[in-house]
Amino acid sequence: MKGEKHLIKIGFLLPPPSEVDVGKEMKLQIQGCCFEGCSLLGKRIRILRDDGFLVHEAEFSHNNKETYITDEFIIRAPLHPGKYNWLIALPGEKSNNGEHAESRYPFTFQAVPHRLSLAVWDIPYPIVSSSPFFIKAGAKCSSNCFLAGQEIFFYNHQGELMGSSRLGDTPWPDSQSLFWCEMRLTAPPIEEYFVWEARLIPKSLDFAHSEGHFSFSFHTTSSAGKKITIQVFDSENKEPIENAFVTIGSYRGYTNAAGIINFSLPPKDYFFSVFKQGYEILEKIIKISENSSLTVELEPAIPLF
Amino acid sequence: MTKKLSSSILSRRDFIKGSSIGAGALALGALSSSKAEAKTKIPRKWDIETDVLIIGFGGAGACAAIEAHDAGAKVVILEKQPEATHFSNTRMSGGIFHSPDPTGNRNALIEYARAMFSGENLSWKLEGEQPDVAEELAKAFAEYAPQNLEFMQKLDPDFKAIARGAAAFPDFPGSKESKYRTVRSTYTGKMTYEYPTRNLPKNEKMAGEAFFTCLKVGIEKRKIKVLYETPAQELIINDKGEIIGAIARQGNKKIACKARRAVVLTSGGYEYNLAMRRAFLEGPGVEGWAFYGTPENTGDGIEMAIKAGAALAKVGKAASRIITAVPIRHHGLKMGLITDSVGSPNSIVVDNYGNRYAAETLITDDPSRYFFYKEAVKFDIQKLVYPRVPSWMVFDETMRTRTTITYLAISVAGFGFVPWTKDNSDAIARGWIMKADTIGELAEKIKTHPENRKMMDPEKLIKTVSRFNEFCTKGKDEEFGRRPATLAPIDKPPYYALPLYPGGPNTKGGIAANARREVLNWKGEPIPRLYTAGEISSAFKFVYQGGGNLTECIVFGRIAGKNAASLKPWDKAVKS
Repeated sequence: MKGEKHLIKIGFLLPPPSEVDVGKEMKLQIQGCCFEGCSLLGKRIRILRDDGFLVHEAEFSHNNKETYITDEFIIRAPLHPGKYNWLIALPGEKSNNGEHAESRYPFTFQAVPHRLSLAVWDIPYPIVSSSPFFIKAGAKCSSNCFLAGQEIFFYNHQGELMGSSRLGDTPWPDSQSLFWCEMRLTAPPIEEYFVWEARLIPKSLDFAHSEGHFSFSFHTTSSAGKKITIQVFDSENKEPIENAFVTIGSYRGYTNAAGIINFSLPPKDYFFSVFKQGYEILEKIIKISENSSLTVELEPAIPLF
Repeated sequence: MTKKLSSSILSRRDFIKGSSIGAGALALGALSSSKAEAKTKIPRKWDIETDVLIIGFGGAGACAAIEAHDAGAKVVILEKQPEATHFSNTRMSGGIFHSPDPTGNRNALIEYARAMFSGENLSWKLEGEQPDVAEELAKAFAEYAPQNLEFMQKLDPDFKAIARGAAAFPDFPGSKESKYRTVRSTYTGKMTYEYPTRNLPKNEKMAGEAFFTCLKVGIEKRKIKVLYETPAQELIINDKGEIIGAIARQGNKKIACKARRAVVLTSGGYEYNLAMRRAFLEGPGVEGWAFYGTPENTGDGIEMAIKAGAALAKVGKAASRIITAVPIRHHGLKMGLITDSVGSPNSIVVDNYGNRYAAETLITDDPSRYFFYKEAVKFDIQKLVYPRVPSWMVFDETMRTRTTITYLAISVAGFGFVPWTKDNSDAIARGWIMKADTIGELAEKIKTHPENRKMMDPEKLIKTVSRFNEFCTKGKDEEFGRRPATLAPIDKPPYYALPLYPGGPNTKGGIAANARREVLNWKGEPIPRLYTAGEISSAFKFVYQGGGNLTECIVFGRIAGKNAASLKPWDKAVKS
């Protein structure tokens, strides 16, 4: 093989993702192998942008038989969204063992804006028409950016802006980085079902972010009237059932440890249901005409075994 | 090159020359080995002698043993599990069994039983699987099932069963007139599935633990010998083709067990037998299924029976629904968990793309629990994917804190195979339940799950959840008609996703047997002195009313035991 250049094959052991958030760190590792079995220990590979700018240099520090491997290293993804064609390069050189040709390994990835996703919760049900009500809304960045101070806008079913609120600086409990706010809104004057939307258009963040949106629904009703107390029991052992899910029309909630839930609602006929895992579902029509209490029993269901 | 070629010719000639000798030797070997395989050599010395040998100490084995003993036979039970951790499906179950009111109409009960045993076939046509024995099976069931409660209470008068519940299929013929009834097993007089009772004293036991304790009391009262850690391995057949015993293993020692009257196979299904699952189960491959019963059901009895010439029946079915599974593996197969929480408020089930595809309450509404499964295993032949395997249960913090995903009292969580906490937090920490701050982020996480194969579309899942929440606001599922009683939105963060797979407690069917519970060969003839009952030869397919398996353990276990004991011994008893 005298006079011929040795070929070296290089590539990723730990490749970059095909899609990465702009500015996000990427963990990489590179491997290489000389076709003639030469040692590559100590040789330095380069990661080059398409304009030839040097992004990173790393050294083959260890080997597995004839494959030489760099340590893991971190590079930062470009700050601007787009498709990137980069290159790993190992310069050619002459040595006692012979001459090595330059090796190149092009790779492509997409840098994308951070994705914002929204959540809306604690929507009261139902909401008294024309009255103010409070909901919570939050936003999360796919790269966990600090979103405090960003503004969430709330639009009604006709696309009209109903108000906005800024995200606080403490993430929602038990979340990783869900920044959130409370919002006071006013219900429409009619009794109906509505679908509204929360939107966040990011401003003044270090990296590009996509917009986030989430639609939420609620039901308005006339002002409440009659007080109803419902208590749920196990029909077999006569003990109260906690966390039974009770609905009366669009009113709903879970029973407490005493099996009790209270509602305040206008008098009329309602679809009434009680659900608890491990029991038969109870569904019936009830008439509410005055303040009253109702005791119901659920029959244990047969487990699926 | 020439040299290489000639040497290869030479070696080829050598090979041919050698192979003619080899082939003869091989043929001889095959002949002798097939002879040895067809019949296990009859031992000269027997280590154990009994009248009726029962293989497998679950519900059916216990009932067969009791009945055979009471008919005057000496009985020995072989059980492969150690006594301290002897967890059969019977014991791990909910402890429900059927015991129709004895004052009900017997003919109506036959009609109802015939419909239950029909599977996908039409009961009035008597075609499909087991047409020759279906009628007799229904009659036998109708004769014995009304005695079930009395049978259990006679075994142990402390057993306080609660009888309630009617026919699960009210439109089946005979459902009302048969006065169908289900029974819950308990020693407390009350019933809850909140906590396991396996380590509690007898008077505090409930569910399958109570049911099996009652049977065990019956076994102990009769002083029936149970040999634990003694797996049976082969049936012994004599020259007349009769099953006269079995070879079992105790540690490294093989022991020969003589059964003077008969052998009864009651060793359960094939839930943890990889090869049988590949061969028998339809749908999304071995990894696409999971079971939540004992991992010791490895199809041993089915294999032994096949070697003895037994036919198979109803074997390609399991009690199917969709359940979660965890990467705790037994015999190379992941373990399922009973997941009755599917369809709870504040949760939905979506496919791999992020779409709902059925009313989640179909699982609990349909008494057979089968038809949600049928939806889940739909195959996209163009794309060669099961878009709904796994499916994903998406739920919120409200459900996480109010509903335990699995039962803590029974099944694999109740018997210590899978750790689970009431608030589900342990499973989240282990990564079995995925957690995210928003639905969008949850979708991104599902997308990275190896079994989703990047099919999840975050925008689609966000839309699906918003739309479902809208149905909750309206109190009406406009897409699939889910029960309104469960319509609570996916509202409060964080949000969670749990993969769901086809699966269930057990496989159904296996060895073909007639109503006398004689094991049948492929010609439909009984194999002499071989009987069977329970899950290994279930009479049910998926037309299944909860508690059916325990019911057939009693009914067909008793019939098998009684008939086994009634045979004239092929050999005289030796005084020991």
